Amino acid sequence: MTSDVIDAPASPATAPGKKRRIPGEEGTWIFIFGDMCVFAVFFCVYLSARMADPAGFAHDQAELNQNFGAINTVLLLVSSLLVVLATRAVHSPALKRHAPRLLAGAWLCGAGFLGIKALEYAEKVHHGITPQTSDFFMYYFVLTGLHAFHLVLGLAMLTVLIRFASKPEMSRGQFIFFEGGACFWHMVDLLWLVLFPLIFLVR
Amino acid sequence: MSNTKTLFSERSQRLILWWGIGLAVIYGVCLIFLFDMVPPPSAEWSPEQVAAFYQEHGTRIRWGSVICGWTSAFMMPILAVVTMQMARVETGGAKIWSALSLVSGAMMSLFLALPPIFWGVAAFNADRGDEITAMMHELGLLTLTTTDQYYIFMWVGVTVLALRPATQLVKHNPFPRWWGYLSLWITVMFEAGAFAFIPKTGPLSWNGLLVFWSPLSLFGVWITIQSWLVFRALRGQVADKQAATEAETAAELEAVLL
Amino acid sequence: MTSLTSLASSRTPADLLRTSATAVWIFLVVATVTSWALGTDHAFVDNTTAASVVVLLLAFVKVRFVGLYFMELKDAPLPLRALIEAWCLIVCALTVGFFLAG
Repeated sequence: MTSDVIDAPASPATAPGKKRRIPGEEGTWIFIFGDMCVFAVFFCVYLSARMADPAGFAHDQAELNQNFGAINTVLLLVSSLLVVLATRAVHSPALKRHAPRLLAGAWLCGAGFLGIKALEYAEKVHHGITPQTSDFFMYYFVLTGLHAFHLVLGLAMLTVLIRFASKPEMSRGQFIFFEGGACFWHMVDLLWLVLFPLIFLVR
Repeated sequence: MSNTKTLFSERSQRLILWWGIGLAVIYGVCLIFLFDMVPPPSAEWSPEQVAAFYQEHGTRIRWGSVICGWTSAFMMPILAVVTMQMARVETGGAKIWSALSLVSGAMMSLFLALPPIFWGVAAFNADRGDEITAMMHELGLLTLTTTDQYYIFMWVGVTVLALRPATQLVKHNPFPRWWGYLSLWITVMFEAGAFAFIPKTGPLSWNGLLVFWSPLSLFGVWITIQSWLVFRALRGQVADKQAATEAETAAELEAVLL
Repeated sequence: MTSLTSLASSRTPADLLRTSATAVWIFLVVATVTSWALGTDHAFVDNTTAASVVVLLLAFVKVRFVGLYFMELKDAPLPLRALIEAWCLIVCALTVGFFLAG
């Protein structure tokens, strides 16, 4: 993947002043907003199912452990901040060497999220709760599972970004891809910021 | 007349793509109006309800199967053209991603052809035992919704080529980068289909949002946009060839005159 | 986020933190803890419906901040910026509406 137009050498001054620019590629935003719209539909589907059976939803929701959700929110927020710092680091020649470590930290936070999620699921299954238990738990498993699936995709993406950041010199195409990948990770965080209150907190 | 001057290939691709699109439209119309499968009946129906459905609409469903017997392989012509265009931009060495997409196009046709056959069989002798009719009906719907893999191989091939920087260097390329991202997103969205074996209600059931509605609409969206991109690229390829031919003729004429 | 060009002169890792994204991040953590307190038995608001609406509104404010400062959509071309603002507004209105109707 060398000697291509898109892989032309990076120009150091990417953002002169206040010029408006798209982070990443246009295509990444199709992907990100596509996902965000699907989740938006799901928020509404979940709430309309809740309208049909408010008592059942309230009863089942009380079985959830909000602390797991809250810890996971903080983990994702920390990882997002680390990705922001890494994005800044790759733009600075003096600080670029910190980027892989920052991204590795973000990756570990994401993996920690999955670990806690696995613990949470295991606790539920241990108490005999599965997606078949009730409508609430079906939505709980589907929505958090869909989100966890996106998180796994995000971890794969972060691995690619770590590889890019470890290179002595990133091409322009790689810079743009890096930004897009970072935005995908922020989207995983952003979706959880709604899912956590919606499923765990709103009563 | 030399090979480079003929427009046979471009014209054939256009014709075959329209052929596939025509078949796809008829297949969709059958699914909606003859089989009543958009949306599919609830997975919670009892065998008696299913049998009654096939007894009542038997004739219509069997005619649907007849028409689908002629039309359900619509992804074969479409993918034949799309993979020709993929092979055109897959420069340097074996055209492996194009090959992957071509075989998945052929295979997915099989799984689009089977459900109408199963429903036709269910309606063929709808007065037999209810349980047997219900099983054919379920086999048809689960075949339609859970055979994701064949679609995914095709889209991974398209995604890889669209996101490969070298592809964007080819003139009149029907796989822009944004299309790679959109295809990738559709791939991700399709993965949910196989879950239809587990629940009978909700977004992952066979009439649910993630298993039925989003794959169905995204499949339609993908075929529409990809066809438009291919037609647009073909127009450019034809114009290029015509311009080259004219230049060649002019040069020949000049050589004769001098 | 401050313009990336100024980063060319950054020397120490602490310079990385000199950005509006850091301030936004502190707000996000505080908002998360507040939401958690409102949504659990630590509630300092008696009316659970009111507390829930606050939690939802707070969630979409957080989403907007992530979009604008982490994804850097603040400096994106207007259509893209409008897209994130519209998503926040519409989805927030829908969820709060559905919640109150239920």
